[in-house]
Amino acid sequence: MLPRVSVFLLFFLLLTSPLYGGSVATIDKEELKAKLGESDLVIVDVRAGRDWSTSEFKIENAIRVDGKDLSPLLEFPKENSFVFYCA
Amino acid sequence: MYLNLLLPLAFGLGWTISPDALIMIGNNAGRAGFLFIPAMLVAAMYVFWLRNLAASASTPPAKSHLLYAHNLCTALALVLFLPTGALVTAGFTFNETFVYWFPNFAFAALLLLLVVLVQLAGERWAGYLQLIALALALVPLLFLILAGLFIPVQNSTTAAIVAQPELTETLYPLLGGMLIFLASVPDGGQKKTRQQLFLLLTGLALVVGWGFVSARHLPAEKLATSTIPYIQAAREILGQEGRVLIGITIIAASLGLVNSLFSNALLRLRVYLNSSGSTSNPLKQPRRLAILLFAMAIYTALFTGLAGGEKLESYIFGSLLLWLLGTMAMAFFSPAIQQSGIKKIFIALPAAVAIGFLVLSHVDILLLTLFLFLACAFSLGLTWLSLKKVRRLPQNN
Repeated sequence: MLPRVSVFLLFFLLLTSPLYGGSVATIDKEELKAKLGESDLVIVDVRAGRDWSTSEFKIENAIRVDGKDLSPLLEFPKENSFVFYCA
Repeated sequence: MYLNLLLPLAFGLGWTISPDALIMIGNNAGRAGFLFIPAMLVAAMYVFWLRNLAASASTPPAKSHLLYAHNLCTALALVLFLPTGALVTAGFTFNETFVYWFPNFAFAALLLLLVVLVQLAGERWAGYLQLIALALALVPLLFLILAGLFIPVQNSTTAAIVAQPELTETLYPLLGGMLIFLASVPDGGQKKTRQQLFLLLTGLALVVGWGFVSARHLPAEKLATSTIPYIQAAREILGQEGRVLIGITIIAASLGLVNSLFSNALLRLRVYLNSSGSTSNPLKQPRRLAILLFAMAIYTALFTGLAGGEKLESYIFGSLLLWLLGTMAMAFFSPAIQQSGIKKIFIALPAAVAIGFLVLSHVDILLLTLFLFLACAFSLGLTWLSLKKVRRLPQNN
């Protein structure tokens, strides 16, 4: 009984682990729309595969980056505002 | 009588006007320019010739087990990877064109659920669904083709159809075009050739029609490199209304593709089980189990994010190459070859060149080669199982 409960609890914890992660600020489309054109704004499109290729809408001037390798963003000053968007 | 002609056509067109095929058509039209039409004609004729030869094939027993195993392996690969891609495409199309607040993955899941329920209800209902899906897909597409032919072009000087393609760029549409015409009718005896011809001509008309209007309205580079050439062409032809029409086509065609691939996989499974000496009613409970297993595999692929990675494209491409390989292999065993004296090399050469060229020009050659190798190994494994089962059957003297 105990091993089964342990396995179930472990599975449950793994499944819900994203809930315990640190919080990240979010921005809605109206706020982003108001900021478009600002010189320190960097919009990063981290969609991959069909999430990107079949989507009709790509934000103008957004930089497409692999979500697992953000090194291309190192060329931007740290003080910039980075907005990441995904599927 | 009409159903005998319409049903095979509906199942066959499930692939030919699917989202992935429409992307190939658009990209090929952008690459080949005015040479798109002859390239598609040659590709279609060659595949029709292979299909015709394959229809009359009589295979020696040992080789038939390998062919049936290969066909089953191909069908399983197709039913897992193509629907995963198509359902995601349909979900995004629904979300971005029609109801922006409805989650795209939820829509994809609902489409798959519909197919599963209809397939569980039986083959007759699967046929009805296929007819409805194809009708819904074809009507807007035909409307767009007609509109694209008659509506004036905004900038005709930069259109792909007037561009001078480089010769090397036309090779891809010529060889890759074979993949668009791979669909065939289910086994249908003597009527099969007539049905196959009807499917070919209808498919060719749609492919050429849509490719031509896309090339007429869009610049070559945009059309050749776009990941959504069908939306861009529709938008250029009819604006917002065009987006809505092509959106209906994409969603309905995705439904048709998934349904046709389910039916195809179940047919190949039945043929394989029959060849290995299963009982006379081989596929009542196994049919339902197979449907549920296919669905679970696709759901798992969707929700583990396979569509969010680049590997899915390699798996889809590999599945299509397996399909071409199987078609070529079936054609080898046609008595017509022996009668006409045509060397098998002339049958195999275009397909072999196409497969080699397409593998070498793929973005991830290593993954694609590994996929093909594993698929062939799986086919050999299924062959071994089948032969082992046949040998165990009691011999009637």
